Amino acid sequence: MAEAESTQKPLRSGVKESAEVSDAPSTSSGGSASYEVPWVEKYRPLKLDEIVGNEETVRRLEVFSREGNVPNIIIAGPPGTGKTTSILCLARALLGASMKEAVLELNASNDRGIDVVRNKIKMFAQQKVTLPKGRHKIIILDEADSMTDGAQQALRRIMEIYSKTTRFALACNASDKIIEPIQSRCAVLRYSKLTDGQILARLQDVVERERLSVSDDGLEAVIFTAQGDMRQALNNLQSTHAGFGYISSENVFKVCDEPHPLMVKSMLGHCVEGNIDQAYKVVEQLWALGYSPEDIIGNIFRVCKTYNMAEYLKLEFIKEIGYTHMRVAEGVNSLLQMAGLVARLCNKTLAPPAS
Amino acid sequence: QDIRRFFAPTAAKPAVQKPQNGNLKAEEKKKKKETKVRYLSDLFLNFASLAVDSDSDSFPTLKKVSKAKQDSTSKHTKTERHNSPPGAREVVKSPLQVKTALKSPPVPVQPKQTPTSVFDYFGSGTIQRSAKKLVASAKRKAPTQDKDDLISDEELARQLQMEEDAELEKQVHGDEEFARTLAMQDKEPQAKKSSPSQRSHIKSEDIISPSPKKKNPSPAKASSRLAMMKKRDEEKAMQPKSKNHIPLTKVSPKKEPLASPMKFTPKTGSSPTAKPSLWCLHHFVSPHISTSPDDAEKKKVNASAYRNYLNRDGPQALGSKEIPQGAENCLEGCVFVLTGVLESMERDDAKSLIERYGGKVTGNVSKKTTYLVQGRDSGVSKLEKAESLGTQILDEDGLLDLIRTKPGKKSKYEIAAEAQNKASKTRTPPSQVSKVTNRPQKISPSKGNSRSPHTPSPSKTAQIQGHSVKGGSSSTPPGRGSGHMARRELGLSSSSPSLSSSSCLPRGPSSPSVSGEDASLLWVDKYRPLSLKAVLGQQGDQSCANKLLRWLKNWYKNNGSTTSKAPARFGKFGGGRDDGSGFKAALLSGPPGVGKTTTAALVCQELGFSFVEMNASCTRSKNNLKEVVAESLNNTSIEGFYKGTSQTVSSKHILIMDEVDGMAGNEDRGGIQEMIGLIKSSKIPIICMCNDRNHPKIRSLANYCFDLRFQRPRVEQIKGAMMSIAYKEGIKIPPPALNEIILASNQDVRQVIHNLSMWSARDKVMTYDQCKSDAASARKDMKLGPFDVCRKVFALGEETAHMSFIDKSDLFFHDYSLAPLFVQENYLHVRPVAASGDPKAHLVLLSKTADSISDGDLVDRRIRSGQNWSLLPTQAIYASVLPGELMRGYMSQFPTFPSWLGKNSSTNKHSRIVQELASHMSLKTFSSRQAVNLDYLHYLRQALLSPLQKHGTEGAGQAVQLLDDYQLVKEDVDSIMEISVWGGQPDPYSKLDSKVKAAFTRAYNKEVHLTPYSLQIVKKSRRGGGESELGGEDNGHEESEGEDNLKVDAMIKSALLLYHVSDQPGPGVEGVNNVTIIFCYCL
Repeated sequence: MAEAESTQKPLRSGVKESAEVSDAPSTSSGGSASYEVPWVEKYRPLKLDEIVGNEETVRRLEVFSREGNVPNIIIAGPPGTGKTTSILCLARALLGASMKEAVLELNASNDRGIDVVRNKIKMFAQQKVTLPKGRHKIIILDEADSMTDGAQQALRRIMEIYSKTTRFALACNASDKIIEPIQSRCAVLRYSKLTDGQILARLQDVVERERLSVSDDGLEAVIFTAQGDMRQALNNLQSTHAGFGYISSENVFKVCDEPHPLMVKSMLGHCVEGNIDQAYKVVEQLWALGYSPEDIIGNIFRVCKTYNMAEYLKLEFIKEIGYTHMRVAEGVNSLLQMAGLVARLCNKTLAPPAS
Repeated sequence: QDIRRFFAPTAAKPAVQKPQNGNLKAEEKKKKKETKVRYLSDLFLNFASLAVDSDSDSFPTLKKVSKAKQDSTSKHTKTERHNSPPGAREVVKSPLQVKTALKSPPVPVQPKQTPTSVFDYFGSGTIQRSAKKLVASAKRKAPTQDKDDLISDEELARQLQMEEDAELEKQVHGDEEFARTLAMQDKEPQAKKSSPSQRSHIKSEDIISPSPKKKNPSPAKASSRLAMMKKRDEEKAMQPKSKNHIPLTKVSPKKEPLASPMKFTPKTGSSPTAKPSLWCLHHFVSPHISTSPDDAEKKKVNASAYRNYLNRDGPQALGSKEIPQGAENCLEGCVFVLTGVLESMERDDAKSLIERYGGKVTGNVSKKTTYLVQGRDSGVSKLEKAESLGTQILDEDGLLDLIRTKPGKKSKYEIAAEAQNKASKTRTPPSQVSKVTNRPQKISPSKGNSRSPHTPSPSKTAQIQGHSVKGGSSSTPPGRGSGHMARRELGLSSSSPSLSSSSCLPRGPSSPSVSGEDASLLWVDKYRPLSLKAVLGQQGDQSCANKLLRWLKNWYKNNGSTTSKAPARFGKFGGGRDDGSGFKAALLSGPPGVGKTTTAALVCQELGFSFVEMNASCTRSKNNLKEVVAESLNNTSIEGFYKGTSQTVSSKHILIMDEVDGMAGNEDRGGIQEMIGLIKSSKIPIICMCNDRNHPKIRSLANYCFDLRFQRPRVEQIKGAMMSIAYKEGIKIPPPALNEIILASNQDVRQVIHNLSMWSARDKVMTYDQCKSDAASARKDMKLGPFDVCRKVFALGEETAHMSFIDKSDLFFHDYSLAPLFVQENYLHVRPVAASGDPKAHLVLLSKTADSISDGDLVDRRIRSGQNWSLLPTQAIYASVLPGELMRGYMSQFPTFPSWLGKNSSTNKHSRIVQELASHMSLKTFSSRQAVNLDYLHYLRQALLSPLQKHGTEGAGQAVQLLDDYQLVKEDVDSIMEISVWGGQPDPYSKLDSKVKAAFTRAYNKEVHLTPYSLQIVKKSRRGGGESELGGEDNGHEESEGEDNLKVDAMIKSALLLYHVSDQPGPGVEGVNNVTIIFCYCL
C-alpha cells in the first residue's frame, strides 16, 4: 500500500506539471488570434477525470490508473467520444514520466502490417523497461479496426506471452472488425455518443476560456452539427470563430456547409401534415441556396431515417425518397423532381384517410 | 440416468438463455430437422407441444375451416375428423376464430371480419409461440452438447448441477399432470362453438374415444365445462377493458412463455402420437396418416388449452406495487414456480427479481419447489400439484413480502468456494515440502491444493503430481506465462503461504493485499489451470484433453519404429479408430477462450515432453519453416539434462503450431503446404491449433491430423470456477449476474475473467442490475453470417422490437452483395404476422415485398453499372428493410442459400456449352448459338439416341457416324445430353444400358476422328504422357509413384484415376487412343 502510494505521488505531480504547461499557452493565446493550435488538441483532457461522458467506464479506468495492473482493453465507440484520449490519459496516469519509453503508440497512419506486428510490436514487448510494481508497458493500437486480419492474428499470442510485462490498449470504432480471439483476450469497453448536455458543458468551458462571443442558438447549431462528436463540435466552433468571430447558428451552418438539417426536418414536417405549399417553399429555398440535388436528397434521406413519425409512413416516405434518389442519380436532377417528391410525400399522408 | 443425461443442462438453460435469443433461434431452426427424427425414436412427446406446433400452421388452414363452417357442413368435417389429424386440427382451429371474433365487441360474430382484433390476438399468440420454442430448443440442445460432461464430476459445479438435474427430472415428471389440466380446461372453448351440431359432435366423439391417459374425462368435463362457461363470460365482460390496453396486451404475452417451458416432456408420448406430431412439425398436412381418434382428440384439446392460455390478459396494474429491497441472496436455495398473470409486474420482471435475490425459477412444480407464486388465471394442475406436495403457495404480495423479510445469506457458491479454500489451506503445508524450484506457480503442489475435497482418487493425484514435478518446471519457457483460462482451483499455490492463510478471510474491497507477483499478473494468468484436470470442460474421459493425452502417450509406439509413411496414409483414409493412432499430428480446433493452448501445454507437461511453440507472431513461411522447424524436428532436447531434472538426454519433444489459421498473407506463403510436408516426415508429434476447422486454409491440413474439437464449456462449469475466483479476489457477485456475464461473452472463459477484473475494479460488490447492463454492453461483437442476417431481417419479437430503423438497414450492410439475394430467396418462406393467416392479405404483402425487392434490384443495377455507391443506403431500404417490415413473421425453415447463384452459374455453363457446340458444328450448320440451341440440339439428341435405343450395341456405329457428320467429338455428346434435358424429364441417355454406352465409346475410340478445329487437350496430353511412361512398368512401382503424385496434386490424382479406368479396355484401344490424342495435339 505504502509503496503504491509513494509511486503515485510523483506521477500525479508529473501530470500536473504537464497540465499546467499546456494550460499556460491557452490563456496567452486566448486574446491574440495570431497562431492557434487546434482547440481539439489544446483542450484535450490530460487526466481521466476531465474526460466528458461515459462516466461509468472512465471511473473504472481511473481505478486502474491508481492501482495498476490494467487488463488488456478494447475501447469501442463512435468517433469523437474520447477513446484515444482515455487511453492516453490512462497511460499518462500509469506511467508518468516513463511514458516515453514504456508506451508504443501505433495508429492507422503507421504501417501495421503483419510484419510490423511480428517485428516492431514483438520487439517492443520483449524490451525491458524498469517500471514500478503493477505497472506495465503499454502498446496503444489506435484505430485497431483498420488492422488487417493477418496482423490481428499475429497479435494474438503476443498479447498473451508478454502479458507479464506488456498490456495492450486498443481503440476502434467498430468492435466487430476486431477478430474474435482478440476480443476474447481483452475486456471490451464501449463508449457511447456524448449527450448534447455534455458537449454543451465543455463548449461553454471553451467559450469562457477563449472569451468568445456566442449566441445560444449558435451553440445549439454547433451541437446539432456535431451529433455527439466532441471533436467535431470543437472543430466547428473553432472554424466558425476563425471565420466570423461570432458564433451564431447562421454562421455555423455557413461553415458546415450542407443543406440545413433543420430545414429538411421542417420540410418533412410539412409533408407529414400534408401541407404541400409550405413544404415546397422549403425545397425551393434549399434549391435557391445552390445546393446540389444529390446533397439535398441525400440529406432528406438521412433526416427521414431518424425523423420521428409513424413507422408505416416513414417506410412510405423512404421508399419515395429512394425512387427520387435513383432518378437524381441517373442524372434527372431538376427542381421538378424535388417538387414531385414533395407532392408524392404529401400525397402519402393524405392517402390513408381517403381510403 | 438416461433422462438426466438428456436433460441435464436444462435446469440452467431455460432460465438463462433468454437473453441470447438470437443465437438460440438460429440453432432452433437448424435443429428442427434433427429433432424431428429424435422425437420419433425417443418418443419424448408431449401433447402441449403438439398443440403448439399444429397451432403454428393454423394460418393456411384457417380459411379452410371457415369455409367449411359457412357451408355448415358439419357432417363433412365430422367424418374427416374421426380418422385424420388435419380434420381434428381444423376443428381445433375454428373455436379460436369464433373466439377472436367474439372478443372484439364492435364486430359481429363473424369470422374474418375483424382485422384489427384478429391481428392483435394473433400477433400476441404467435410471439408467444416462438418464445416457447426457444425454451424447448434449449432443451433439445442439451444432449448434444454435454455428453462428455456427465462423466466428470469431481468439480464443485458438477455437484450443484447434479442437484439441479435431479430437480429437473422431477419437473419433467410433473408435466403430464399439467397437460391433463390443460385438457380439462379446454373442453370449454369447444362448447362455446356456435353451431350446435358441432358441439354435439364433440360430445359424441368424447364418448367414442375415451383416452387411456385421462382417467375420467367425462365427469370432469361436465363439471369443468360449466365452470369454464362462467369464466368465459367473465372474460368476455372483461374484454372491453382489455381492448383499451391493446398495446399492453400486445406486449405482455411476449414475456409470458416462461410460464410453460414444459413443451417436450417424456412420458406422455406414445408411438402413435409421435408420428402425427412429426408431420405437424413439418407444417404438412396429410390425410393419409392414420391416428387413433384418441390422439386427435388430445391434440385438439391441448391446442385449445394452449390457445386459451394465449389469450390470457396481460398484467393489469403494471408497476402498481413497489418492489421492495431485500437482503442479499435472501432467496438463495428457494425454487419458485410462477403461474398465472401477476398483476403488478411482467413475468420476466418477476423472474429477474427472484433471480436477483438468488432464487431460482423453474417451470414446473416438483418436490424441490419451495414456493408457488400464484397469479390470475393460474394453471390448475400446478396448484393441485403444489397442494399435494405441500408446497407453499404465495400470491404476488406474498412474494414481495418474502423478499422484504427474509434474511440474506451467503451464496452457495461462495460457501463452496470458501470451503474449498479452507480445504486447500489445510493442505498447504505438505505442498510446501514438495516445492522444488523457486517459481511457486509452476509447481505441482498446486495440484494437491487445487483438488477439491471431493476428489475421489488421491492416488491419481499423486501420480500426476509426480509427473509434473518432472515436466512442469522444465517444460515451460519463462516467457510463457500465458494460459488463457483460469480455473476454479489453482491460484492458491501461486501465492505465498501467508497469502493462502489470509485468503480464507474475505478480503475487504480496499485491501489489495495481494502478494508481489500476483499484483502485476493478469487474472487470466493468475488463475491459469496448472493441471490437466483443472481445465474447464476437459475433465471427462472422452474429452479432447484426454484424447490428446492418450494420443501423445502412444505416439512413439505408433510412429516410432515404422517408417513414417504407411501409418499416416492409412490413418488418413481409415480414420475410423478413435485414438488417432494413425496420425502424426493433432489438430485442436475450437472457439477462442476455451483452453486449446492451455490444454496442449498441460498435456505436454503432464507427459514430460518439452515443446517448441510457433504461433502467429512468428513468421511461418515455407522457407522459414523449412529452415527453422525442419531441423529442430530431428533434434533432441537437452533441456531436462541441463536443468538437472533428468539424467538422460530426452528425445521427447513436441512442436506446437499455434494459430495455424493465422498463417496468412505474403509472409507466410506456402506455410500450410510446408506444414503438411513436415507432418509427413516428422519424427516428433506436432500439435496444430486453429479456431475455424472448416476454413479453406485448414481443410487441407486437417486431412493429416487427428481431429480434436473443443466445445465451449457449459455455463454452470464456468460459473463455478468464476465464483471461486471472485471469492479469492474478494468480489461479491450474485450468481445470476454471473450467468449474464458468461452468456454475454458467449461462454468464453478468458473473456469472462477479463470482464470480471474490469468491472470489479471500482467496486468489489457488484449488483445484479449493474452486471446485467454491463454484460449487455460487453456482448461480443460477432460478424453475422448471411444466414443469420436473413433470419434477423424477418425475425419477430424481442430481438427486433428494439431495433431502430438504422439498425435494420445495418443488417443489410453485413454483406450487401449477398443480403438481397438471401432476402429474395427466403421471403416466400416467411409467414407474415401482419397477414394473420388471411391468404389475401398474405398475397398482398408478398406482392408488395416482391415490388420492393425488384426496386432494390434496379438500384443495385444502378450502383454496379454506374459506380453510384451513394445509392447503397437506398438499396438497403428496398432490398432488406422494406421486405423485412412487410413480411415480419416466422420462418418455416432455415434460410436457404440463394439458388440464384447456382442457377446463374449453370446458365453461364450452359451458354458456354452451346457456344462450343455451335462452333464445333458451325461448318455444317452455319447457324448461330440460338439456332443451334433451339433448332438442332433436340433433334440431334434424338438422332444420336434412337439407333442406340433401337439396335443397342449395333447402333453405335451409326451414332458415331452422325457425330462425324456434324464434326462433333465424344465430349459433345455429354454436353448435348446435359443441356437438352428439361426440368422434370428423365435423361434418356442415362437410361441406356451401360453396355450400350460402353460399345458406343469403344466404337468412337476405334478410329481417329478428324475435326476442323483444335481440341482442348492440355489435360489429355498429360494423361497420354502418363500412360506412355507408366504403361510398361509393373504395378508395384506404379502404386508408389501414384502415391507420391497423389499427395502433390489433386489434379494429377484424378488424372491417374482416369488412367486406371482407361486401363481396363486393353492395350489395343489404348494405343489407338494415344495416337488419337497425339494426332489431335499436332493439329
